[in-house]
Amino acid sequence: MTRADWRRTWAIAWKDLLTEQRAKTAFNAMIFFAALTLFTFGFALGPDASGAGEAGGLLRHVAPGLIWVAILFSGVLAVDRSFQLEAERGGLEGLRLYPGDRKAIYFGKLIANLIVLFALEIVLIPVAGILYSIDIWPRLAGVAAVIAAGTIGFAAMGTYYAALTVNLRARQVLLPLLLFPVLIPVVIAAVKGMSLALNGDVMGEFGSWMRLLGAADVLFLTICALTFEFVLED
Amino acid sequence: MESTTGFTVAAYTATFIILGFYTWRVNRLLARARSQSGLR
Amino acid sequence: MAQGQRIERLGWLAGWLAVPALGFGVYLSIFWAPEDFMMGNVQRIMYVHFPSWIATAISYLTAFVCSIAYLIKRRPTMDYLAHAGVSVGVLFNTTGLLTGSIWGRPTWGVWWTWDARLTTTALMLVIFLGYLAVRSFLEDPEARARIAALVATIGFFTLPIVYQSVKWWRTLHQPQSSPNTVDPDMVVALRVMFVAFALLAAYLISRRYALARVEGERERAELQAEA
Repeated sequence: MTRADWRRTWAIAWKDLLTEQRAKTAFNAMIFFAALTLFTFGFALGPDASGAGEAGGLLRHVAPGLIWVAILFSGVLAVDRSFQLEAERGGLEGLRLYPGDRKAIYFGKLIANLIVLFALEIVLIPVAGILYSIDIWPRLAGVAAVIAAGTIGFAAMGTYYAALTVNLRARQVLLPLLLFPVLIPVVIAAVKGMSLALNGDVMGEFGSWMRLLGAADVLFLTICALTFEFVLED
Repeated sequence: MESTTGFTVAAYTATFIILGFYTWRVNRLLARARSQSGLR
Repeated sequence: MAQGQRIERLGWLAGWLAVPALGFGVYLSIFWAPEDFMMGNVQRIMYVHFPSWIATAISYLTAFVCSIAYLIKRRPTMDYLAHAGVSVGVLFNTTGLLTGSIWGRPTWGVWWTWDARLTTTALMLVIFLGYLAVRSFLEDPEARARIAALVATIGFFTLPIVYQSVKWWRTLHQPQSSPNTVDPDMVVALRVMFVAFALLAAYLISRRYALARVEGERERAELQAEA
């Protein structure tokens, strides 16, 4: 990747984010959906789970898992959209005509997706904190680290599979079907990490789980970037 | 302790039924495809 | 095309060998091998359970290698073989999970546990069912072959990470248990069944490959006629 390629990367990311910002409706719908998911979990787990006392601990206990499920479900919508603009204009034709290294396109789309996902999470986490009675503020550093690392892994694979499935008819079912199994390591480590960050780390495991997340991120980014040119082919 | 032999029979039967069905089906589809294309 | 004929001929050979191997193996498993001291006759399920995994591994590995080969060389044979590998892999993946579940019920009292191996193999099934689903939705043969190859390659690559992470996730709760096949007679029966299932897998892959090839060639002829 030359410097020119990196410039193309930022150009693509910037263009996508501008487009996203102008059509705020999609982003708002995503946030609403994510918040609704969190809300619905509260109902699904029963009235006792939310209260104070013994039973109230349940919601707080499973909160990391619920948060990541909400991120996954709404995040898939975000990632799904990242190639839709091109798809509506007739497939990835436009992108194929871009000069230079294909990886630039991957990273550009990836960065745009990351920013959208982070924006989603900035709203989501406080909402979860309120709904599930978790005091996130004092533990923000740990939570932020987990969110960052987990979202990178999600975006890495999500961007790739979104491009792969862009022309498939049943895309909106196939994308999560293909994506979620390969994301299991990220989900496991991110939920575990967030749980440790929020509830205390008696045995000092946080570092190991963050290392697993980091390794998964690096591996995913590498293999996706290296094979992206095959995705874009005619 | 419940009859454990029943589970063993179930496992073997299910396995070989599934394998047998696949074997039969792949060969049937192949024969049909070949006759349609006029091969062999 | 000579390579295709070689695959089919080897497949026939494997098939003919598989029949007596399976017969002999089942006889050994059910009648000859000793009963397990602790688990009783239920333990005999392992003679179809573990060989299923051997067959699954062989099939998916074939699919993986051929997918990569296709991406590099773009020969349709590799696509047909990859497709066959996934199809047969899904078959044995299913019998493996099924026998595992049936074995688990009387042994541990549950139809399912979240242990690392079981969970990873269930995820394998989902990944490769996804592969078959993607294939069914693409009509352009080259796009289909290429995208399917990528799905198989990436999916296969993530399996070790998936397995490790589930293992770490679970070891806090329970250690992984392996049945002890100390008895040498059991090992004999198991090995015969391994060979028998491997031969059956090879045979079925060759047949599924032949089917894929006939269908692929017909598709190409039809597309050329349209053009």
